[in-house]
Amino acid sequence: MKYTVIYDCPDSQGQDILDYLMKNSSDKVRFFNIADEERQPCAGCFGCWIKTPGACIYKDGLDAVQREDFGSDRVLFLCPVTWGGYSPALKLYLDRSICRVLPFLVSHRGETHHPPRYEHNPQLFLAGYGSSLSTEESELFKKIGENLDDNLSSNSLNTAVLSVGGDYSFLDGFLNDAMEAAS
Amino acid sequence: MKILFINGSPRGEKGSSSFPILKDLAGVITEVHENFEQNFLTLPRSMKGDPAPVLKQMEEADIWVFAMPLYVDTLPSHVLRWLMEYQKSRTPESLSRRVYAVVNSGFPEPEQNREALKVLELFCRQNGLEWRIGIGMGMGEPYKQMVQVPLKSFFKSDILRAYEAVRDDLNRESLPEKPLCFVRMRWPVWLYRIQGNMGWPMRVKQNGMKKSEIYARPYVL
Repeated sequence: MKYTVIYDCPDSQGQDILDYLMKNSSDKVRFFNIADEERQPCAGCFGCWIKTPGACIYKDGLDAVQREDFGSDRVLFLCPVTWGGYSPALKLYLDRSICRVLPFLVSHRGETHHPPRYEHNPQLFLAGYGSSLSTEESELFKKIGENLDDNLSSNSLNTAVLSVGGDYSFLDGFLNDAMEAAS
Repeated sequence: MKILFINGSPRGEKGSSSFPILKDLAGVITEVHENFEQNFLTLPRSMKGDPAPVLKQMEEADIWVFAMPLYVDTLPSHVLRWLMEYQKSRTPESLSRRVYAVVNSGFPEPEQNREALKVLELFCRQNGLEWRIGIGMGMGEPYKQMVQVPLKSFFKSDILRAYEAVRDDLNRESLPEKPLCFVRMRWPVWLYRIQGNMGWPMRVKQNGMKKSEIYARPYVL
């Protein structure tokens, strides 16, 4: 089993959660910090579908993260909940990762989506965090997680909104198997 | 009144939908509000330059009208970055203003834009801005190709109604009658999917590859 954590934790709350994850992870878990303001956002060029199929045209380090992400058994995305959605840095990563699906349009759960490029897709975990988040923000974040699940046809995404120092059983659920793999 | 039309497409004015949507919307607004000053701003995709001119242009407007494509269920990342820049730059003296938005998706179901519009609404509420009307548009990708088809035609009649709802709300004092509109061109979904699927292998071939290379899996270990 291969585990990957892809995170954007620009504040002390995020660092607290990240510390918990790192402290409780075996060496089977790999961590990638994607907070880099120098990276180019998705250009909307469709190059990853028609010029270099399956890979973003930009080579600035995210391709190495994608290689780990797509080849993992479990992936955790972690970021601060931002107006009920992803942080800009995690969103940049997700926008640049549409190479994980094909450009075609197919029906999935009654809506149109793109089919997956790979036969194997990791089990996805999405964790947002923040203090004083409203119910509306938390619910929106969970709904956005469900949508990501539909888009990636993974049928497996687990989404949670964490508060610092609160219940981290969601992270344990992600890590438990990693600890077993290490033993 | 100064209206700022804000283009959130990463492809800028070359994009397939956001800029022509804003142009159409501006035309509909002009029909009734001839004396409103209209300006256009394309949010730069890169944040490397000085953000001050962009923020100044945003701060000087009385009304914002966004148009942007749906990227992975929500707003494109560079739009999020600019909203964050605006949030950081706000002061207690910053003005409130009305905000409208069109989020368009290449998928035919306009409702897939619902969460993106909600993110914008929450941004507005957390920054003292007045969220008014959000338009979720399906089948947005061919908008530019269809720009010659009049808004008053059968195919675009639902889109026109949504634009008119924005126009009629600009100086309404009461709450908007319909804060969310989900629209698309009147075109069969099954036909749209077939048309959408046909072109991709050809585009791969035009780039000097075999059609089958569209299925490449460069990250298979």
